[in-house]
Amino acid sequence: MPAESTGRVVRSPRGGGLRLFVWLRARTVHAAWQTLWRSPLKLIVIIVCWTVLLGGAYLLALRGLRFLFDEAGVGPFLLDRLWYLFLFVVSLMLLVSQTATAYSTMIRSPETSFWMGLPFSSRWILRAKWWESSGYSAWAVVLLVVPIGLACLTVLHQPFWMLGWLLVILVPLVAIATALSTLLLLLWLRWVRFRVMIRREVIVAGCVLVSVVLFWVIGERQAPQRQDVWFLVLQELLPRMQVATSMWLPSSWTARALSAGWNQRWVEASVYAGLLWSTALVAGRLLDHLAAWWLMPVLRHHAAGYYDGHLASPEPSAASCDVAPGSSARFRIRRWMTRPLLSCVAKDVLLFVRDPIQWSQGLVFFGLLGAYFANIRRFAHLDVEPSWRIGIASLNLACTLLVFGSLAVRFVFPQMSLEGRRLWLLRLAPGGVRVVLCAKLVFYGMLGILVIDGLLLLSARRLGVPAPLGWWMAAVGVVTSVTLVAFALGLGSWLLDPSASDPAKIVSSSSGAMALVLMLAYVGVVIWSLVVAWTSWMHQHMEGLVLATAVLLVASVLWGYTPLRRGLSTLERFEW
Amino acid sequence: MTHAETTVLVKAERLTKHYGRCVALEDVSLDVQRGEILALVGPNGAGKTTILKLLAGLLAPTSGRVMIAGYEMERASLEAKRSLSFVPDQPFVYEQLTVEEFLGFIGGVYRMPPHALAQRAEFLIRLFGLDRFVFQRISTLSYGMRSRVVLIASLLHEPQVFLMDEPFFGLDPQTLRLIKQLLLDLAKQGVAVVLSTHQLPVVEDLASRIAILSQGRLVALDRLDALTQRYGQGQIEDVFFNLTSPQASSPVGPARLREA
Repeated sequence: MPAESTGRVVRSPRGGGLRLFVWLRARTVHAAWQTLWRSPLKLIVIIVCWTVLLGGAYLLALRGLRFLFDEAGVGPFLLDRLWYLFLFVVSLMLLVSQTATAYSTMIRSPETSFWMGLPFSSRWILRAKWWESSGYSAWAVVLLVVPIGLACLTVLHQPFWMLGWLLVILVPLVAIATALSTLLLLLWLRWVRFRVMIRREVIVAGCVLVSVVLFWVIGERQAPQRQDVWFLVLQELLPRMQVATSMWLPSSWTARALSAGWNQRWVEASVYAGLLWSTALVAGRLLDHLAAWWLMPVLRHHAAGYYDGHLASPEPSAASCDVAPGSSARFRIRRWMTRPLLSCVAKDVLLFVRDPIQWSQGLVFFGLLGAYFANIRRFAHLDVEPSWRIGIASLNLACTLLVFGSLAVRFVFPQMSLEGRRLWLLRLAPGGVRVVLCAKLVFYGMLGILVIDGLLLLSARRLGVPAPLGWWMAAVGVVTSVTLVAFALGLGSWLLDPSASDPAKIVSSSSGAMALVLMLAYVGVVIWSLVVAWTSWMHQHMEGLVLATAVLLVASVLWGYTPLRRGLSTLERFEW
Repeated sequence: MTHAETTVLVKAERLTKHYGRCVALEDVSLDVQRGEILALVGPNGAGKTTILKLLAGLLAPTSGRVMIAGYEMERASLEAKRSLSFVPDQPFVYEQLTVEEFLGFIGGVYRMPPHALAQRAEFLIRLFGLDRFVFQRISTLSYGMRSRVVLIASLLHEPQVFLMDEPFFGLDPQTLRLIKQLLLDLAKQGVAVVLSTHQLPVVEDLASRIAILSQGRLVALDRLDALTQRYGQGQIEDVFFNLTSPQASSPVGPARLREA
């Protein structure tokens, strides 16, 4: 075709490869920023929320670390060991988080299918998507580490520029964890078929259940003894920390580099930093070489075979597909789903069951909590006072709520946006969009009640919490789980993004961050209520208990009902 | 013969694609010459999209091989992909980018020299009447305008092979005519075009040859006149129904519908 002009309009970014990817993402962020800039109120809310979150985390960490540091004789040692444990847990969190994020960002994203049609090498796609998914996985971790690091520096009277040192050694740790996780994910997807994977997940679930039962049995056998509490805490805790302080773990190298830096042993610090960076580079190269061979087959099997981002429905083009045996029977079974609400709930149940990413993460986190609760009896010989038992039970509830709240923001918050283009069908149905929202509330609310109250009752039984207070806590569990689901659903509908197809991106957006912050604020209110209830119970002040209940109910209405109402209104007025 | 001199730009040899137990495509062989328009027609689920995805390298064949402009897709996929363009039925675009930025990105992907990119983009933007929308975000454009952006992006690097899946769906008559004319012009310039469509009148107007697929098999591949002579009474519709007749007695055929 003849071309006859001066070239005034379109300019391409300089260079190719990853520079092109960075340019592309920078343009997208710029566009998002421009959109945000047009609504100053939203921007102010986000800034305030983040300031409160980071400031609150700093103050909380400062008080906690000071308390530990001031313990006579063992404070600095405890603080040092705490970093080993903290970085070890952070590494585990990164491994789990990266598996889910890489799966949605790298494998099931429509952008990946688009890139597959362009002349990009699989190595390029892998690198770009690894960087991107690592960013999504790690930003929250890094933001969590910064206030804790700052608090630690304050307690240790260290200069604040040491925070830079922490970041220098944190980056390779993130790279190592995410590279390893991506490798394992690709290995799994390359060599294990999807259906088999689901069966394997069931095996993992079985293992977790067996472990819980074993912990229970071992815990029951533990004979109570009376000894000094602090001594026993250390005696119990330190051998368990050996895993976190192992010389073979990158998290342990990070902690050692950190400790050496704070103690001005710069040669040792540099050695560990060098070890971390070289391992990160090796992990990156390994990912480059090995996974680049596996990526294309995996993408061709998993990504190009999907029409849409988050539904596990294989391409419906096969002409001579066999009809699955028993399908007519299954159809008959589903005839009970005649009412709109029931059929929407059934749809959500099926999608949940067929999305291993959702339930496997819940299984891992709640499984760990379950194992810990079942194992509480092992610490019974510490002869903790009854009031502290109630306190521990309250903290357990708070911990369960935090995990549930995080999972609700991760999976429930993007639900309505992911329904997106499919809502045309549901909205035209007689029940309307209200039914879709109610169905999700019913399903995830019930799931939350089952999980939270199940774990709570386990914890209360193991700690011997008095029955009336146990039931009060169970009621708190019911109210808060429904509130958290209503909040995540409502806010997700209120800040609807129907064009989105990647849940990880929705959660990592500014609205996702806002949801996380507000969820944490609500859990904070719940924890406050629990503390008030706990102290009131200790001092036999029933007014305090009533006050805590009233505050909890008001907060639940505020956090649950308001976003749900606004979300519903947005959905009903939304023009597709 | 060098890659540049190859006259057969698309070559599919005994392509078979299975999805688990489902056979989406079985033993399909075809080739498309330089300057030829091949239309893939067939009922829903016949394997049209699968064959286009296999040709574009988005799917790996269970057996068989694909050659694009003389490059084998499995062994030299980057060279093959540089020579082709694929427009799926629901194309992906970065909605938050402006038209200019999106075209700039595509130009960068194909490593086009800045001057050539600017010239080519401006020419195509004028051709498709998008002058007023260049600095607008793609999310603000209508479906038809988005389709034009996708077409410009896919033609930017002057592909030798142009693959389109259902290109005429949801377009106004003006855009429809524009695309038809564009495909004819591309063919005149020596581009090999493969498109899948359900619109038989368009096939009559455009296609040099027609491939009819049914239940994952290639049941006919020839020029329109030869097909109508052999299978129909001068109408492409007759050819289509005669060759894909098993569908008439399928569980959703007219008789079954009446029974239901």
